[in-house]
Amino acid sequence: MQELVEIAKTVFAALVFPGLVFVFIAAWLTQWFYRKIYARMQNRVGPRYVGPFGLLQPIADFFKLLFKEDIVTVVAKEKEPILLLSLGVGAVIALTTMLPLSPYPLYGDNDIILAIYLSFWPPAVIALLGFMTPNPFSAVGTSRFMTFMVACEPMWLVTLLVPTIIATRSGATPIFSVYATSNSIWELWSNPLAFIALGLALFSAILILQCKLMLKPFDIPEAETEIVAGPFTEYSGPKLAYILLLHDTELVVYTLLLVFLFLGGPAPFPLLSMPGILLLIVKYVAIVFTLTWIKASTARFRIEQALTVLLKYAVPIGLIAIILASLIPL
Amino acid sequence: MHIYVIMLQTTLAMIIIALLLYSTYLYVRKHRKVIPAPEKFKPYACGEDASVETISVSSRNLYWAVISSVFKKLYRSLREKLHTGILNDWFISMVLYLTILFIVLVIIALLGVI
Repeated sequence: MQELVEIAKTVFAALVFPGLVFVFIAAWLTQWFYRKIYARMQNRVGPRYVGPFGLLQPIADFFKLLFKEDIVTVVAKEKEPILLLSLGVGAVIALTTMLPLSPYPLYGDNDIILAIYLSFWPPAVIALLGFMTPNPFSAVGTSRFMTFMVACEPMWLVTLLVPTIIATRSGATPIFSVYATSNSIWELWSNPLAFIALGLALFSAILILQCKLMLKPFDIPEAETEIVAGPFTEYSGPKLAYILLLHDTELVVYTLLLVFLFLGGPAPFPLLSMPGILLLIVKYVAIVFTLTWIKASTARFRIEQALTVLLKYAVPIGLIAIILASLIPL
Repeated sequence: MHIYVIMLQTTLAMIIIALLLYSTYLYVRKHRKVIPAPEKFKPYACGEDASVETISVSSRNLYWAVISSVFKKLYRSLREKLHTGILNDWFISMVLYLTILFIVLVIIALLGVI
């Protein structure tokens, strides 16, 4: 009976809060926000026709694509891309059940490794999507994407480990846990050495997130002026809708992960309080705004320029942060 | 909570969401509009008439591209130093490499790691 209750709780968390329904709503509002802000930064108005202030535009775009014709080229796979995309979205949303946001959070020793494993699904899905449609643009885009991920993914792991190492060394239990780190990291910012390590890791994590989400200046794999849409060139209709859903889901969940792991979520207030919820939203919006600001103020790098930027800034900074996190007295 | 239990529960969550999304696609697919136009089923190659063989890139090239792009400088310097066409250059490099490897193994053995 106890096991059935646990399974029912997990199903609720996965499907409703903070799972599918919550992430879908958050993705809709986040997409509207960053499209509006991005447009304002470029002296445009952004979405404005569907709903008040264009609020319903992302929903309209998604459902329009969902019910359009699904064109499958003669040599492409028909159902496998959707299965992969569904698994990718599922993996990213499953990660939310480990955040303190969940009413029934899943946590235990070393669960950060599981969170990092779940966040490795979308890049694998995107690479496989590129292989499933023989096309010169898909091949070039996938090749670029894989080159990028070689530099990007190990550093994502390193930067996410920094706050968990600091929290574990300061006595947070369970060890190396997303939940325990989120609950104790806020107070650790007051330690000057931990402040340096966390600040460097957060800077590196935002740069890596920009790269993972293929936002400018790291949109090289899907550079539309050169290679149409890279790995997604042959995808249209519902498949394109699911690709956009995967992208926005990643944006929401990884931003939430950074908010909880680095900034302590609603801390110093409790989650179930008005100041706590407001502060959580403020921190979330601040990270989305930073990503949009970088996107709006930079032009696309060439692949070797992007790799140089990553290897010169994100990698050494991340490595210094993890060495500091392992050595500083706490 | 043990890590295996968390792993099983997150996998359950992932599969439930994936099944829901996949069945949504199957439903949408059943009710899709199909406009007949045979041209649109050809692979897109900017109007060029390309065969499947010419537009596919072998997986070997894709993986090799990763190595030759990320470790471009190392790849280039190794190629220039080792592949000069003179057998002695390659032989000296290999002897140097194997000597370093041997020294590392001796140090590890002396430290008692293996």
